[in-house]
Amino acid sequence: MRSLPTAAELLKIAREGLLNELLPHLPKEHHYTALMAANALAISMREIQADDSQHKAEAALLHELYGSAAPDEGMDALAGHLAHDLRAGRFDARLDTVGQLLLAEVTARLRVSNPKYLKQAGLN
Amino acid sequence: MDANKETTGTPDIAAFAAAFLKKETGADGVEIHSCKRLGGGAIQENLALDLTITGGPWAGRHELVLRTDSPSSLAVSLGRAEEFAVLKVAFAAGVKVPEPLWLHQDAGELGKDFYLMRKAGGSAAARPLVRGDLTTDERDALLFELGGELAKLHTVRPPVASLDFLPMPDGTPAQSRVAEYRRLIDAIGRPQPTLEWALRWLELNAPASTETTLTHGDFRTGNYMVEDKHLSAVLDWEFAGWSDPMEDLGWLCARCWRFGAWEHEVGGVGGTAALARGYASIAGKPVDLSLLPYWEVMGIMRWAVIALMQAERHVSGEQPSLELALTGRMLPEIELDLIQEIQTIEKERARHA
Repeated sequence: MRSLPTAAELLKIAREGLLNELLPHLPKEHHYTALMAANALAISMREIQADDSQHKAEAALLHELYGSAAPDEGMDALAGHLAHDLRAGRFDARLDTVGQLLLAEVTARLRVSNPKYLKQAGLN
Repeated sequence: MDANKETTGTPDIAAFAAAFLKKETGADGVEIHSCKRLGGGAIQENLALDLTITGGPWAGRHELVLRTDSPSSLAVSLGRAEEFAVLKVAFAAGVKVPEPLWLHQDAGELGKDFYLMRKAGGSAAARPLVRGDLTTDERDALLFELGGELAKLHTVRPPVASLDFLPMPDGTPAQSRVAEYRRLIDAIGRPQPTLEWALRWLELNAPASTETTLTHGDFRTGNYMVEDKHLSAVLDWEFAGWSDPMEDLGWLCARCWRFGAWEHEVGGVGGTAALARGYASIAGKPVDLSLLPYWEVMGIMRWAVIALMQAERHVSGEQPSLELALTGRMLPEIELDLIQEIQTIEKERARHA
């Protein structure tokens, strides 16, 4: 059983209420906080609705850099390995390849946190 | 009570400052007309004081700014007494700064240090400046002035006795920064592959340092005042230190400080040519702009680490704040800047190889 409306729909309508109904009545010094709150709601909404592109980008990163020797402890542990190996110079010969893989992963996160920024950076 | 008196600031600090000034200037009396909190200090609190001093050599009306610590300080920034010392050295070197006047070093009376400086005219607001209607010539004139101020500051070389609290870089300034940022990332304790990738690149490409000078450490659009289209004062000296002078130029030009106007490399205001001309006019030698892209990457790296530390204050529960929380979600933008700017440098390098 699923409760309706969905969380994403609730966030969307809450954000519209905040921007369209509350904001016009707020004194100017509180606009910044209201806009930040609206932004927090928008990020949450996109995160709930996100497809698995971030997961795929992470998996590609894992596979490309560690292959079948990829540690099986999940993404957080992998990030730790990768961070450590980068600092130790183990990827010095392939820094550009790693950069390209990281770009895909960062792009997937940006699609959630700030898609407009991606557009400005010439990515989509 | 004077009807015009505004007490939107912190009246007990204002009263304390009045008593302090009376003693410090040998006055008969000090009357505060207004005390207003000035915006723009996440770390420091700035109060604008309009006051009249009666008697003594400072008799007359003065517009001053009182700068003190706000409750949430960053451990990496200077304290007020140290900042006051830096400001005095910069003022003596001819840099346009608000003249530093008096320092209160607290012995328990108030609970914190503060200093007083002359209030500078103009506005530091970044977005109106970046989006404003300055002509190309006016932008170039402002950039020329910015370059000149940096060059004046960079004439100050170590050692300076009154700045003996500033540490010297460990190794070259670039190597020293890489080590510092790694320590700060480790202290937060969450792995950051993109930042580590960029730090390794910064380490492998670190320039041999030619010189170490006094640097501002936070010289960017938003931290200098502009009045009638000209530079009126350089503010916010709490990150000053001994470093490579190019670090200041890189920070000023880094993509993260263009306020959306990416086409204007220098702080969203304009191009590097006018900045370099202004710098050279004081330094007496040309600026090596070939080093600028490296130091822009170092600047983006610095912002990444600061953003991470700010976000951590929320994430750790130390200081719940919507603004700090959203700063955490800005990290992907900064990571993208890092990757793209490094890729651009590498492409350029391959093209010339």
